[in-house]
Amino acid sequence: MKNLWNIADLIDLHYFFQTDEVLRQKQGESALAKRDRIIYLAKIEPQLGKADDIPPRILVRKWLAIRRLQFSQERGQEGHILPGTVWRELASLCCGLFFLAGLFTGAGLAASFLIYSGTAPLNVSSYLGVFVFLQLLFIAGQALFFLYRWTQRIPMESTVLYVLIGRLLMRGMDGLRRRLQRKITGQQRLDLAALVGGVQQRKELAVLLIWPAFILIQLGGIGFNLGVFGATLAKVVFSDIAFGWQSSLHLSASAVARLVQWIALPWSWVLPHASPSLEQIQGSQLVLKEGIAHLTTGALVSWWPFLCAAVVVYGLLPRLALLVLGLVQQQRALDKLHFATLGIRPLLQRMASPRIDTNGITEIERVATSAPSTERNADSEPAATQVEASIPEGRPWFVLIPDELYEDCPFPALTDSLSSRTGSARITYLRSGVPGASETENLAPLIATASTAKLAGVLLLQEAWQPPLRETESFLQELRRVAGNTLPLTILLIGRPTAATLFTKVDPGQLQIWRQKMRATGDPCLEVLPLVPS
Amino acid sequence: MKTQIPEFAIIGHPNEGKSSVLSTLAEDDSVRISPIPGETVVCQNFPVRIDGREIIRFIDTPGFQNPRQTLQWLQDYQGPEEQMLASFITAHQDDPAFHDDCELLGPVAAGAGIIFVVDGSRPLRHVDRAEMEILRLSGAPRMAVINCKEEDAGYLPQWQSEFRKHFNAVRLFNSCRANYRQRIELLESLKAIDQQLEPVLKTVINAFQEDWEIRNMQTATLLAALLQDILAYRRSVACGKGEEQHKRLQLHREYLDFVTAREQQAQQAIRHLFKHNIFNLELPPQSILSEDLFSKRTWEFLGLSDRQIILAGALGGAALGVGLDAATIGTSFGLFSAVGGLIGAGATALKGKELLSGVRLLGMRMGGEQLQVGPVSNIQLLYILLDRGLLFYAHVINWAHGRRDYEGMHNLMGPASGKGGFTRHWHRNQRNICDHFFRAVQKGQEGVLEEASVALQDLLRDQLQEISEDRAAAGATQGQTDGSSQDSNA
Repeated sequence: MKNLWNIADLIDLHYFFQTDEVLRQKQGESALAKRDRIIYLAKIEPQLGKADDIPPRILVRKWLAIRRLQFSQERGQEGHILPGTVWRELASLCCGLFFLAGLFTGAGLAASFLIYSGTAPLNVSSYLGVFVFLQLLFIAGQALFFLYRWTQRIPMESTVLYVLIGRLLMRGMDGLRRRLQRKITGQQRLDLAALVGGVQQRKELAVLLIWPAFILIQLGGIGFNLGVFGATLAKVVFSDIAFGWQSSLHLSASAVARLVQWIALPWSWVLPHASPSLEQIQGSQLVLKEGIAHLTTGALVSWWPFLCAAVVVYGLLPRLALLVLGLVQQQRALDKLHFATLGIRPLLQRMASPRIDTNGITEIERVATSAPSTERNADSEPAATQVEASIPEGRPWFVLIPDELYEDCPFPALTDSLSSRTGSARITYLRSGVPGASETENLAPLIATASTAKLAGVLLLQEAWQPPLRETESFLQELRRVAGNTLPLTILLIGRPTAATLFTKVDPGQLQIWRQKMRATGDPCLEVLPLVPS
Repeated sequence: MKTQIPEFAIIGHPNEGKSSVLSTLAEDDSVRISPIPGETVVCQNFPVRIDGREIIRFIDTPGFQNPRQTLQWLQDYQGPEEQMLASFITAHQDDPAFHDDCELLGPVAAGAGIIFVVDGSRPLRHVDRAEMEILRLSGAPRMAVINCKEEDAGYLPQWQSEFRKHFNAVRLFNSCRANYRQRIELLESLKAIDQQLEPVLKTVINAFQEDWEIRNMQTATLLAALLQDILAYRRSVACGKGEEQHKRLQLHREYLDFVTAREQQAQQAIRHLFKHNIFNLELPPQSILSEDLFSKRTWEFLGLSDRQIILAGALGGAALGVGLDAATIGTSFGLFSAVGGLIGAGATALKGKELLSGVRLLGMRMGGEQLQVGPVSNIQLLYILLDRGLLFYAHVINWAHGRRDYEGMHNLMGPASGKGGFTRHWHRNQRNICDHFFRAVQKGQEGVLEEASVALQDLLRDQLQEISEDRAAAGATQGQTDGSSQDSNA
């Protein structure tokens, strides 16, 4: 499935995620769940089959195509354009502009260089120096740089330019944040932290943008060489141009001829006449005090095929090769993109999990409100600190429950809810934050499982009314350390407990604070969801 | 305490209302308060000065960010006990994750007392216990304040029993509702946390009480001056034939403008006296001239719809018990508009109401070519102005500085408040003082007026003190200005 995703698709995907965030704030999680489930059931399942069997990149690509279609149907008529389309159009416009700019620069430079008034022939070495060797120098420099990075196995992120710009940006943002720290309000501080976190989260996407820039430069280079080539040819055809060579050193014509043969080596087998002969070289040597009268016309015009071939071989062809390299690398970077970092997991879950909404009460609410006191009897409470739901199926999920909530937690109701949410019945409950015990001790079963099998994810039950602390962030970092960087972590928020139930709805303001705070951590595989849908 | 000035750091979990408590305690409404946790990132001193002399200092601190790790570190600490907090700060000051914890423990390490604030409407959690333990280990004199932000008191017993283990004193304090009396009570209980603090806190409380009395006295003076200016108002204009109607309108307007401006001026002065910079009961100007002028409601408040009352309303008018609705503050100068509306064109627009009654009320006389307004001949206006002034005072002092739901302010003055002000509960001798003052203003005798004004100011000062101590009765029902019942209106 090559060429499945391109940059425009990724931009559109993030755009839709952003609009979904707004929709979530306005209408709640259930509105999103409903829409995505409908998209899946009506459009995707009939074509591609069960969600579990479809690779996420294909499933999400399909979802994106449907969202795009909906967008163009709903808002296209009002003249709204998707940012991906804007990107695509801008990119092709830029390509055209760079190519044309290169073309005109090359043609202009060559045309102004090739002015011959009949007094002195044009210097071959200047032409070669400006239009061939200078370019070669650039390309060689770039190639050496690539080669160095390749031999040192330095990834793209450590490109000097990327690192410099990235560090400057991050340091600038950090400095700004520190300077503003005392002046701005808590809300502004939170927004800023979330923004910085969001940028860090998308760091991997930024790498993708290096290749379009690379391609643009190559297009400019190709334009430049074509311009030089075209202008030289035009000048040769439509005006009288004489080329000669000169040197203050006592260079013999034969030495120059050897050098010319070396340069012409790449094309000598296909265009054997596209380089001047020894006689022609002798006939075009310019000695200023002797004037040009003694130079032969045939020798003076024998240089142009050599110069044109040099521009094509040393200027145009390397640029073409680099263009192909850029296109290939861009696609490779897209293919290598780790899909888990795109925050698509909630979307996949929304599409895959059936919606349970009988009379508007979700399963967990029903269980939690109907029989709360009997629910919490000795039978349903875990005897040990670790409870595992019975059917072992699929990858295991771990649920971390704060120590203070553990005793009151209605496990059957929670298991019901989480099974339908995760689509897995292998759920292990762990106590976290036990006073006196270190988190490593608390997480021991999780660490043990993670070392032998691959985890499906970790869910953390948290009370939304408790503001997220630095301690919470440190704990999440610790969890990342033991569970890996791409393991899905989900914070499940609950509201203030009532006498009847522990699982209450979350205040939207508090949910928002948690989301922003967690976004600020810059962890792309961490999400915040309310346990009880609003 | 290193210095003679007692220092108290307000400490707690993020978003528990520390800044709100501080704002109310220090009477400073510039303290930044928001529902977003992490509003406070650095310690900020709030010195309370009286006559330029600093008498107590409160320190606002950020919330705990790593209570468990901090506690663990303190428990593992081996060095000398008095160096514990300083060592903690030295060990963590370069770690950005511990910035807030170091910042908040700084004042405690320097010897400040602790006021630990919790939101009593939520359940107790491990982190809270960790925080309490940290403070206990600090060994600083400490008091717990349960800031019950919401009306949910279900978790209070849980908090109180936990607090008894860790703190020298526990106090309930609603930072959004606390008034003068509750502030003084909180300071009183601070005395209990450390015997050494007692003498200096006694001085602080005395200074607070003295300052409050002075503010009351100043308010009384402001109100007396307001009454004198408005009641003694007198203007006369030359009036040719045919322009009588126009001139009356003009006089009426001028009178309204004068009353409006003068009353507002007094209210602003009272507001500043009580250090309210944001909270403001300022009223929209358009209500003076447009709808309230002839509104039926205004007439009902005043009881002026009945012409007989007005005709009978000479000096004894007050005895009729014309009440004043708390809502009159909201309806702005509708009252005065109505009073003033009785003269000039207003009266004709009122159709049924006769011009005569207005003439009597404001004492306008028409002699030859002269049109004259004032001085006011009906003592009713004095009581109306007094009631409005006292109500304004009650609202201002009962609006805690830590309270920021300014949009709720307008509800304070809703029509549901019931009729009646403070003055309707006054005794005969209190009324006599007012009568005496009113007559003195009418006659304009300097010496008598001076004497009457002093008596009125004394009366008002006592009344203001009663209001601030929740002892004053107001309105048709008892306890109208009681903090709780007023707030329930909000």
